[in-house]
Amino acid sequence: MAQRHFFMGVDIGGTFTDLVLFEDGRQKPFNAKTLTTPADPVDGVLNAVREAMAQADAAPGEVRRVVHATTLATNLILERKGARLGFVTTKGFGDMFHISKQYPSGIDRFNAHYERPEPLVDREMVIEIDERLNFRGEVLKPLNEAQAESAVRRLAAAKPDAVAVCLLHSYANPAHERAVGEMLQRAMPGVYVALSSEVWPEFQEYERASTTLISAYVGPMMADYLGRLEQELRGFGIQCGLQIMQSSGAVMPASMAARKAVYSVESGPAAGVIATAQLGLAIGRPNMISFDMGGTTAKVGLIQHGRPNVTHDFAVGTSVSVQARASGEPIKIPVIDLAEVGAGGGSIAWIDPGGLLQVGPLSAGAAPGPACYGLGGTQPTVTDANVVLGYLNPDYFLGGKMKIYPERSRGAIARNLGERLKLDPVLAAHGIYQLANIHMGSAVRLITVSRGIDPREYAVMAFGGAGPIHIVKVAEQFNIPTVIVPPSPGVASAFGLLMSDLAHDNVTTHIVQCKSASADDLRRIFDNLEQAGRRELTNEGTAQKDIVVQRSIDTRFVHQKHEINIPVPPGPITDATPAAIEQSFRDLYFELFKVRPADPVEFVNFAVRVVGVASKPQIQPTPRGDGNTPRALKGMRQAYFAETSGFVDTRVYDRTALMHGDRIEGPAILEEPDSTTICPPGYAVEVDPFLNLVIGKK
Amino acid sequence: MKDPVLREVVQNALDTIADEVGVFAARSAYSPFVNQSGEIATAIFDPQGRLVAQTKRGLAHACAVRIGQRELLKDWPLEAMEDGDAFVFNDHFRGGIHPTDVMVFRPVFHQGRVAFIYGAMMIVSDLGGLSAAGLPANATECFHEGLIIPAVRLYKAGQPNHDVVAMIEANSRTPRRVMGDIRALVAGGNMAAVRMLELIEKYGCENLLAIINELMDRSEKLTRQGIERIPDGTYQGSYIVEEDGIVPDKSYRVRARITIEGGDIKFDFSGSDPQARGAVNASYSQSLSGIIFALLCFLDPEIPMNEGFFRPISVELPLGSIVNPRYPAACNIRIGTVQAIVDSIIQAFAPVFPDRVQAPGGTPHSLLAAGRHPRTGDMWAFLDPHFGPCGARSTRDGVDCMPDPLFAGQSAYGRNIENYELEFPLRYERFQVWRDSGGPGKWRGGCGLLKEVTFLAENDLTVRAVDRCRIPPQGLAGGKPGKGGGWIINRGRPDEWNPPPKQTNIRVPAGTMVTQLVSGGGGYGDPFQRPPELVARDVQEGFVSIEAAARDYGVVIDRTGGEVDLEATRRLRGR
Repeated sequence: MAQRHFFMGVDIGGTFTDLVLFEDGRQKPFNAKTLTTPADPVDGVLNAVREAMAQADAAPGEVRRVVHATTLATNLILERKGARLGFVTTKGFGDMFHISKQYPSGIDRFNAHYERPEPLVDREMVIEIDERLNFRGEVLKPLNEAQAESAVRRLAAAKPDAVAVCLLHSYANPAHERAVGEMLQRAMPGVYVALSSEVWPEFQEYERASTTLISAYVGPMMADYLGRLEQELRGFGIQCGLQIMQSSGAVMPASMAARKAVYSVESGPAAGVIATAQLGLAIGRPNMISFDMGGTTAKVGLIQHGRPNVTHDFAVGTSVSVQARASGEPIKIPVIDLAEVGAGGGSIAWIDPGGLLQVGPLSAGAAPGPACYGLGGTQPTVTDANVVLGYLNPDYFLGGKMKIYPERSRGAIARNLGERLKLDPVLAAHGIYQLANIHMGSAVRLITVSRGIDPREYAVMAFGGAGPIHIVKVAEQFNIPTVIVPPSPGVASAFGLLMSDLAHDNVTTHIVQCKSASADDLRRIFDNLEQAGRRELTNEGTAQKDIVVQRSIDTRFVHQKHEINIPVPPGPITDATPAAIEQSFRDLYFELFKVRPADPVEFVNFAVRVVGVASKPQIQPTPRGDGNTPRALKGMRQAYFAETSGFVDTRVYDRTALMHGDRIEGPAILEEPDSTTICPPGYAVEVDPFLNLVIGKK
Repeated sequence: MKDPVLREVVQNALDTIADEVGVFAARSAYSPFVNQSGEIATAIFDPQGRLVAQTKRGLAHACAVRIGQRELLKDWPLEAMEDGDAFVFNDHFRGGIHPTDVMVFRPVFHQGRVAFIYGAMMIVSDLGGLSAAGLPANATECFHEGLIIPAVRLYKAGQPNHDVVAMIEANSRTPRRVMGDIRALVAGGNMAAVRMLELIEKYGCENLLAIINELMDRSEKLTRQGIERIPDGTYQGSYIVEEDGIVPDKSYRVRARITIEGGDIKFDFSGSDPQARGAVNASYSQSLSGIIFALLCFLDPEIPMNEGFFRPISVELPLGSIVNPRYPAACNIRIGTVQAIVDSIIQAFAPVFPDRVQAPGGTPHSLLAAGRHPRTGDMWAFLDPHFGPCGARSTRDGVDCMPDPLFAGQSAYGRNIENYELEFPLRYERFQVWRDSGGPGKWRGGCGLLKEVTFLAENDLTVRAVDRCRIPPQGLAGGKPGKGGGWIINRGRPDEWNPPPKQTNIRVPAGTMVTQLVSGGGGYGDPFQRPPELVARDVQEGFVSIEAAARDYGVVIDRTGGEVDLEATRRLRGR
């Protein structure tokens, strides 16, 4: 038999570990879904690996790439189970995290019982070093080695698991941090040490320090977990190195993920956005909105020109609502920009004191779950509404693996909402459906309209188990013309892992007015950053020809406090480059704010992303089918639509039997084991060569 | 009942617009105050001048825009407005707060008529006055506090009005920045206009206004429901404001008398002292913002802010008093008075909301300096504000260092040292939790801050500790006051001295070091009732010294092990 090549993507979620095994040249991937094993997630991964390998009849040596997304770092932070930390900073500034940047937001502002989250580091675990630099990196006060050694000894006696170091102005000169780092290594061999000048050398001490602190907080456990997982996979016979999804949507080798642990904080959600970007490119759509609806939240991301939007204003350590992200500790590393709202299948519907129907943010979760699960849930949820409206098939939930009770959905809605609103339970269910769609719409709005982006110029791709039920009505709020549902939307995130490239992000702060910035300066700064990234990639085995470099500069008007990231066009930097970047900034600023200040412009942070293009599974188009859709017809079901103001007989199709070129007019329901797609009246579905469902107005 | 879903949709859309435009405007602002979105208040009004929606950020400014907008309509009736106009306005006897808090209004036209009006306010970087950043510590008239701008057109039919721009620029020490700030507010208005027009297009103007009417009724209903939960009766509270920086040793009292009758609430401040000569007076709208903030602490904070919310509320702020001064009173140091309003309301309600009581916290301290930059020769104006930390609560400690929730959006570590050192000729020496500054109590008041900076160039220094230094944040229910803050110049040197809390334009040479001490919050309950293990933890973490543990709490901590000496503690507490 000829040598086969497999790509493996593993995504660990709260309930399930999803694995996609893709054979190069084969259209359909093998999917495995196993229960996540919280005590040691390695077990769950190995179960999934065995299951999928058996399905595919693959030999371990045939696996060429393994990419992994993990919520380990996120959970360590949310559950506050990270390392016992030490923190080292410049003398006089050790109270940074006890003074704190966190404050109450949302309704907490009026909460007389508000408690600010405790700092991740105890105050007695902070040591201050006698040294001082200025913003140019010049030494104002040399490092007092005797004082530093004695402080380090004191910290070592307290036995931290990890130490974060952030000295003032170390972005401009890392020498003192490095010297302290060496002292720490000597005093506490084997302890995890994170230096701010390595983790994220950008000016603004609080953000740089908290990014470093978070890295140290999750570092030791990440290193341990990834080391064991890699070892187990090797033991299983999978010899290729393990790669980890970063929050930015690029991947890095597991060894680096252990060193720069903070980079994988938002590893999981990033994968879905990458999947959307890649599937979009395959069908010639570089501008996409990704829409991922799960049990408790929906996440919306934006892809422009084939690339996901990335933010540097992210905070970790609080709940998931969009507003709450304003609190928590800031991390400055690149994170795929997502708007997240508390609306998912499990979100509970209720009536507020003013008599208005509300949905979420409370969720029934997996247990007791929606009323229809029959596991003790009595509160009506979005899933219950979908059952009452006829959108979900009680006999085909999770492909028939799970029994649900439609009468409990109806009862919960009638009891809790219908009677109090004097509304028929079906109309109440439809109200829930609409409100959930509106909440999810607000996430779409945040990521598009709020930033002056017209969502109508985008196609939206829906995934997650529940996404394809709601997406057409979410898109309708913005007149987004095209909705796409990929095959197996329930495991699209794991698939996204296989579509990602390696990348390293490096940044430096150099504040200079555009008019006095020289091309030589720009070349020197960018070259240094680029070389650092190239070195990493080369060490990891990427060939020079597969390396792509992206440069950008955070730019602002002099005296402003917020920068806008301006990409630097590829190609050599010339004397005209600074002025060209300034002009791009001025134009973009006008586009965003509709005002054109004449003030001088300055460059602040220089960033380079060095990408190593990885070999990926090729998704192949399928030949056109016969167009005879009755082949996939499973039967008829009553479903409720606003357009028909009542229930109508609706065709139900087996999505897995649909072929390229098939066209189905709404109303229609398209079922597959891990998801259901609703095509309302007035819309039609077409199946494209990659077996995506493409839904638009008739 | 009309369609509850549609109402919810429109309510969400309006809230989002008000919130988003504020965030958006903050992103383009220049003022160091506004490097977070917390200090921009934005609102949408209907053509009758009724509040339609308002961001819940910028709470300290919340009511200014609403009142300013009514005054605007007196000078500029709708017929006089053109599409693309933007008005700038800061008169603090007509809705404003003090000259440096600037309002911008922009009508939103639909089919040739004003359909809505956007309004926003934020503090700008400098509009002249006695000292840099428009925050003089010793003003006695509004003219000392900056350029007073009546409602004038900054943009005429979409075109900048260069006359007004030139007038503003000529009156600012930092002309570029101040126009950058004002333009940020206009940018927010442009965005609000686009978004409101989308809503009109979607629902139709008539229909939208009808829904908005229902939403106002709904907010009124929710507000009344909340008020009805407070038993009928009269509630009283008061709090003190220390000297105004002009008349020595004179203090002022704010007195609240609250009457609840069913779903109606009346706030009567007629017992408050007459206005001060110094700038500690709170303008009418500023006092109203304090009242509304305090009330929200006792209602459902999610009630959408619109005209309906205000219907059950009546307010008596006597003209000529410290809570509503007569022209031309100076008002820029009013926050101590606003916090006194909040504290007197919280204390008034203490009998009915015993678990929501909070002892008074600290008030803002601003360090300002202005000079010429030795490297560039440019004029510079520096502002480093800190907000008072929280007082202890009846159920738990005050949050250390964290600004009082009235300043939601401001954080204790709000501005990075590296940023300031890069921009100004100065070097910070330390930024620390001020040990032993939290008021002792069964529940400890939040610790204040200690920050020290050395100026590397000659400058004019203004120290402006708003309040609660000489009369520090008081304790409640047997709790002790927090430690009163202030300023030290050249601490530990032969020429060390303590300027008063409020002093304007002290010329100091290069090398001058300024120590800023931000008062700690008041304590709650008898400190001898504080569990010894909590005191031991405070000592271990360094918030309380071993000496203070014994002196203030009667808790003896072992010097070597950090353990509580139970026997010695019992003896000390038994005394």
